[in-house]
This record gives sequence, structure tokens and C-alpha cells, in this order.
Amino acid sequence: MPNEHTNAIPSSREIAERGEAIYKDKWEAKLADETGKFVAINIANGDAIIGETSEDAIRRAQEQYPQGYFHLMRIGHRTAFNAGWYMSHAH
Amino acid sequence: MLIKQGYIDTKGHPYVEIEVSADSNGNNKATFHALIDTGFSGFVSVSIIAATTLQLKPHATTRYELANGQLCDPIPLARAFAGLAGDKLVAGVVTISEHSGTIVGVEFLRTCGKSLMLATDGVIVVDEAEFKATVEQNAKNPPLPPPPSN
Repeated sequence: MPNEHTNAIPSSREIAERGEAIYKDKWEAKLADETGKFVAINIANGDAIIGETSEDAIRRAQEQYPQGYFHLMRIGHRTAFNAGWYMSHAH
Repeated sequence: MLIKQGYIDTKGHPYVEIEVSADSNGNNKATFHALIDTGFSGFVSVSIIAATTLQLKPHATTRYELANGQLCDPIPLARAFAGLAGDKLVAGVVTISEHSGTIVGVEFLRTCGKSLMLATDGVIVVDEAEFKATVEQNAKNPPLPPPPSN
């Protein structure tokens, strides 16, 4: 990968916060017509890789940027996934 | 029709046996008793220990919206493969959570093409296409009524 990343591995919080900031600044308005689809934000270059499913978005993102770090979101939703009762009480 | 039998634990939670692997060949796959959570919109959630055992490589994160409307802290995820025990494994996004158990959500059922039936004494997971075909066939050719008793 050509100088796309620093050597440090970002934490989950760093990936998520950078991804959410990029999405809000760069993509939220542009992708308004893609509601319901999933988007993986490459936190190194700000690219957005869209997929019909979560697996589709992540697979395509990793094919395009094998060493990339991504934050997965669902367009038009607060989060990519909803947690059920059990998971909600485990967090 | 392919039928998988799950079970309901003493707390009333439905479980089914699944297999998860980091690769599509099923190398280094592991078997889990997974809680079926129909409120979970995702594919599969595993513990950190399970993710380590499976050698999952999380290069992405996401968040859940919890049942109370709050957002969870960021959680890592990895692309992996899962299916009912003995079935073909299909690709999906496996989230790695701090809770200790394995959970399957509605995305798992949809991707695997399964229908879920909750019975009083267990859980039945059937192939959805075969199940629908059987229901449609029975609707076209309903079984004959029993003969009248004397």
C-alpha cells in the first residue's frame, strides 16, 4: 500500500470517530438517495465504498484497499445494526 | 426438507448450533451454541476470545443502536463465514463484542436462506425455499379431510 497509512494500528474508537466524522462532512448529503444501503468509510483517504449488504460493503472495501481500516455505517440510519435485548444488556 | 433442531435454555432463550470460520474453506472452523436474537439485525456476534481462536482479522468497526435507543461504543468486525452446523458456510460480517456468548441475528437467517419456527419445546430452523414450496404445494392440493366417524 503506497503511504496510505501510518504504521500505528488505530483503536476501534479512533477508526469509528474518524469514519463518522468523514461520513458526516463528506458523504451524508451526497448519499441521501442511497438510504438503506451500507457504506464502509476508508479512514485513510475518506473514500466511501457502498454495498447492498454489510458483507458486500466490507468485502468490496477490503478488495479495493487490502490494508485499509474502515468504519461501517448504514445510510439514513443512526448505526449499521440494531442490537436485540440480550446484546443491549451485555453492553 | 432440511430441518435443524435447536433448543430453548432454562431462561427461555432459543439456541442453535452454528459453525464459524475465517475463510470460505472452513479451515479452522469452530462450533458454537448461538443464541438466536431476532432483535439483532446483524449476522453473527462472537466474543473476543472466540474471535482470537478463529483468527479473525478485524480491520473495521461499527456501532449498534441498543434497545434503549443509545449507541454502543465502537466494536470491531471482520468478514468471515458462518452457517448452521453441517450446512454450507456463507459470507457475512461478524462483530466482536465484549459479551461472552455467540449470537445470530436476522441477517444470518436471511443470508443462509432459513426460516425460524419457535415451538414450545425447542427451535426449528428450516430451509426457507423448501418450506415455502411445501406450503404452496399444500395450499394447491390440501390434504383430504379425515373420514367421518360413525
